[in-house]
Amino acid sequence: MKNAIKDGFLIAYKDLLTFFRSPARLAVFVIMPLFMMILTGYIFPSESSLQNTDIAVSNAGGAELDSMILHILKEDIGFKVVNASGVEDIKNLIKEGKVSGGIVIPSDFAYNISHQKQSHVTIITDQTNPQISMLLSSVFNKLIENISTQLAISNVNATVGNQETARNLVEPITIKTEKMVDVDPDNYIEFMAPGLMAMIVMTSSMTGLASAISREREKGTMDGILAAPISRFSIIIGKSISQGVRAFIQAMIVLILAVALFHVKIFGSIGLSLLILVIGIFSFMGIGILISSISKEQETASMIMMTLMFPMMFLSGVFFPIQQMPAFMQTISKFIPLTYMADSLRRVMVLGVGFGSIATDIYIMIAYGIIFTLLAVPLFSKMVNR
Amino acid sequence: MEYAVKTENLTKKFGEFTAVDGISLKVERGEVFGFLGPNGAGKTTTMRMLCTLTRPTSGTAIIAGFDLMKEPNKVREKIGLVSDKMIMYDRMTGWENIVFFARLHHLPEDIIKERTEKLLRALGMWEWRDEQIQNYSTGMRQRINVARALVNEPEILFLDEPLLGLDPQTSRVIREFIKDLSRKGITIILTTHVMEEVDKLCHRVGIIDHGKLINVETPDGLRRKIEKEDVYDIWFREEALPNFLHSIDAISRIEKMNGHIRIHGNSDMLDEVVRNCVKNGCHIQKMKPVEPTIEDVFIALTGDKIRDKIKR
Repeated sequence: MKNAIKDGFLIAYKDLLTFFRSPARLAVFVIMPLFMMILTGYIFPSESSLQNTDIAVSNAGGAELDSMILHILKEDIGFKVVNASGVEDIKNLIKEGKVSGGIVIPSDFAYNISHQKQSHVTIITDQTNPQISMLLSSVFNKLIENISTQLAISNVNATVGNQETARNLVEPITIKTEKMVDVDPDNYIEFMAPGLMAMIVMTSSMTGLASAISREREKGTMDGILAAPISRFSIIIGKSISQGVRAFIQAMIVLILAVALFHVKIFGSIGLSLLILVIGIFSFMGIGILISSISKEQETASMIMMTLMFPMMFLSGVFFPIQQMPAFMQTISKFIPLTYMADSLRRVMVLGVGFGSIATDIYIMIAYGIIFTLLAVPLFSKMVNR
Repeated sequence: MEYAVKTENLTKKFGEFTAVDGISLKVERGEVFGFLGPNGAGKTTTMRMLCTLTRPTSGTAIIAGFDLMKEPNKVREKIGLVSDKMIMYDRMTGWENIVFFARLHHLPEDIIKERTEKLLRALGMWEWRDEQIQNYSTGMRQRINVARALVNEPEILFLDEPLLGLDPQTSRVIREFIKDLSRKGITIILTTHVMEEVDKLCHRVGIIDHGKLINVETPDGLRRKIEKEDVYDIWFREEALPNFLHSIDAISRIEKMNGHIRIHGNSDMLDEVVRNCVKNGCHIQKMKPVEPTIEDVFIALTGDKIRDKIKR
């Protein structure tokens, strides 16, 4: 057993040595997490990302209140405003792809308000682009609501003669939101970084393992290792260590980028986060070995890998909340080790919880690693003895 | 006496397909034994079984005194493998490659260093030891491949197509090296397509076809098997083919070659040719017997059809 581990380290050392001497593989190794980071850092829309969005405004009245709304849209939010005339015109502009949404301020807008009549504003958004559409309507709604409230307060003030009382009458309830952590709610990457780390660790360790084993088989170097008096288990240990080290380094790259580029703060214990990373890597290893054992060549292995990894990414809660999924998908997500890894990393890194709160996650990941490794070892031995 | 390799009904099936069909073979210690056979005949599968890389479906084998099935790791300590796919890592140097595989054999570090140096020097690779394999030529790679296989000082060396694709110079170095190993008492088992290799290297040849070992002989013994008539190449000083050749009964066939002729016939043929030549005032410039090549033997024993089969 001592020899088996020693031989495993020998193989791991050899793997890492050849890997770090290969500039092409090294470049991909660094660029992959970089891309993932930058993509997720900038791709998800937030309200600040609405800056420079094209919207259409149909404003027939041109009263002082109208210009105030226009000013807020242009200067305070930062929209690029295109002039339009009426609902149909705005709809056409959206169809042509010239604007993402629009707002119609009718000609009697200011007149109605000053004469105690109700005014109407029409909001049009492009439903085929749901995320922008949602953001736009929330911004428009908020804006109109605010103006509406301000008008109501000044109207009531005219009667009661007290600004404070007027406000209390119009807005009897206010809401205060207590944050879990002190971060900028627009900084989506703060919440994504742990999940991203988990995902990169998964793709890196699983695909890396399968291709490392298949490559050696196809090149014939595996024969050299197999013809040496070593345990078959040493090969698995060696490959797992070398891929684990690589996955770990990539996770560190993600972390460093997140801190350096996106000013992500880590609230919990770094040591505990690293422990989760290592255990997470272990939980993917068995699956990786299992897949490379049942596939004859590298191409098959990567195809099976891809087929497995995509649903894992989407069902693990890294990108989309599990609570939103239909029941059967929620059930599936419970069988994905990535779910537990992403969850525990997020809770430790962002919420700052201790080991006690994530112990279950950790035990499940360890169980995954053990079960799949136990399944994989006999299959691997069978494969190499074919 | 104890054999280096002794197999009994060694069989390997891949599903329905029988790749190796009940091979029983004894190879003596210090022997150079060659497996000869068409592509897909089962040579490589046989080698892989003997090297512990493929598990036999049935049958037994004792390699270097150990049971292949029961003690594969003991067998592995005693064997070295040179396969047609070169076993080495491109991004490691010659030195690092050999040391890596030596360590897998659990040798002490000082012995590893000593042997690696000895082997690299013997194969003329010492100068290039710190260059990465990716910068080596095919010939240099093959020498590292051989050095790697010998680092555990194996009792039996398996060579799968060792001279495939090598230039004449490297082939010669490797061939001499193999002969030298054999003189030192190392058993050599090789597979090849190249008939010349067999002639120059092997003490005995086993011909494999359709997964069966159909013949085991010395190269000479095999040759004798098909030597039914004498064959001679004759160069005449005269340009024209002497007419009298056609009237000699002992000659069964005359072939016009490039600048000379080849005659086939019985043992009286040569005597008749010389006598007629003197009588007709004809001059023989050079004459030499044509030995059948192993290729001839091979075609005679296995037929000349190319057989393709699908492995499942």
